[in-house]
Amino acid sequence: MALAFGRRRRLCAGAFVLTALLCVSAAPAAVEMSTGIRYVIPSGSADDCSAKAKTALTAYLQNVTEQSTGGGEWVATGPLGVTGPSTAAAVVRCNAVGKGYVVTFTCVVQIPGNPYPADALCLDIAHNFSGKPVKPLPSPTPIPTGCTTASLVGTWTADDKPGLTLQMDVNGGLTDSDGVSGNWGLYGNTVTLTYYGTHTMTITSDGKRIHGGGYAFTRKC
Amino acid sequence: MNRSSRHRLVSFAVAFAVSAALLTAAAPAEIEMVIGARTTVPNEPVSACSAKAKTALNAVLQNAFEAGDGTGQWLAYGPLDSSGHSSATAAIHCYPVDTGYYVTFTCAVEVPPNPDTATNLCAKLAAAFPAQKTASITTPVRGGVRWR
Repeated sequence: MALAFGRRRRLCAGAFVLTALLCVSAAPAAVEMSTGIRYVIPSGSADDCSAKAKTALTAYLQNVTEQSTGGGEWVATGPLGVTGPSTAAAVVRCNAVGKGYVVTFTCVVQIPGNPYPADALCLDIAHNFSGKPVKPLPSPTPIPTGCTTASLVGTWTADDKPGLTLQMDVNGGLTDSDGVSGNWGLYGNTVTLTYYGTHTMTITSDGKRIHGGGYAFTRKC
Repeated sequence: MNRSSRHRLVSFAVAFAVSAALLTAAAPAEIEMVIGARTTVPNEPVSACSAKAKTALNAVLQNAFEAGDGTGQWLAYGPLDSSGHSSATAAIHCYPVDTGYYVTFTCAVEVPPNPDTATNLCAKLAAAFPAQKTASITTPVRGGVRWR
């Protein structure tokens, strides 16, 4: 009986661990695209269009670039101020027609994971372009600053290299101060860091340090 | 089987299950968007572009629809997964220009879980758009290098 009880206890513990892991896995997400807003400007140069496109994209996203110089196709990713994986992107296309131009707006977001839908993003970019009033978009959820053993979210500094920081996000991603990205996982007090290889580490009981395998990081909290 | 062996077997099974779960846990997803090919087709009505756009989108994705009747802006999503989500989408825009039209392709995927890149998706769409000539090279737009 004692043996059966012990086995049940172990099975229960195993089931609990698996359930916990499944619960912390990222929820299925989807892409959502918005298109349809188009302005026909009867008089105006393609350069004017490009300048407005760049301004409008810069207001809401980052990494604004023109696909090819002078091509009038502008793309950006975001959200604004967020490092790590992109959850939003938009394209503004300027196409010269007669003495004016046609401009279109196409936006895509990841749902869930992005703080606003694709339609809202495209509407604001288009309104910024045309000078119409815009509705402020929700800001991304700020990264928690506290220390906890339940999550690695926050900013971590390497103990032996103060200039090296890891920004760990709520989705299990991390980005270092050089822009290199990776992943983190937490099981009990065991940390799995996928960053230049896979490292198994331990988190301290106060949630402030992770160490192991010759590495150690301290969290800002 | 003695108690010690049984204990080791159960421990192994649990460790195996945990490892399997860790390996299958979803990595953080990222949106990848590309500006695909574009071209100008002379002496053909924009309605022909719309027809081709719908056909191409339905061939590569599914349930293509126009974002407003007569806009010439066509959109479609990839197959839904078991939770009703799609990880791929694309738009084809048709603009009337003189006696012909100008057509552009825009693609986006979520990686993971989508098995294909946005660049490949746009390439498939361009190939499925009849008589379409590629005028620009697709370039992925996404975040930094991801280490897995």
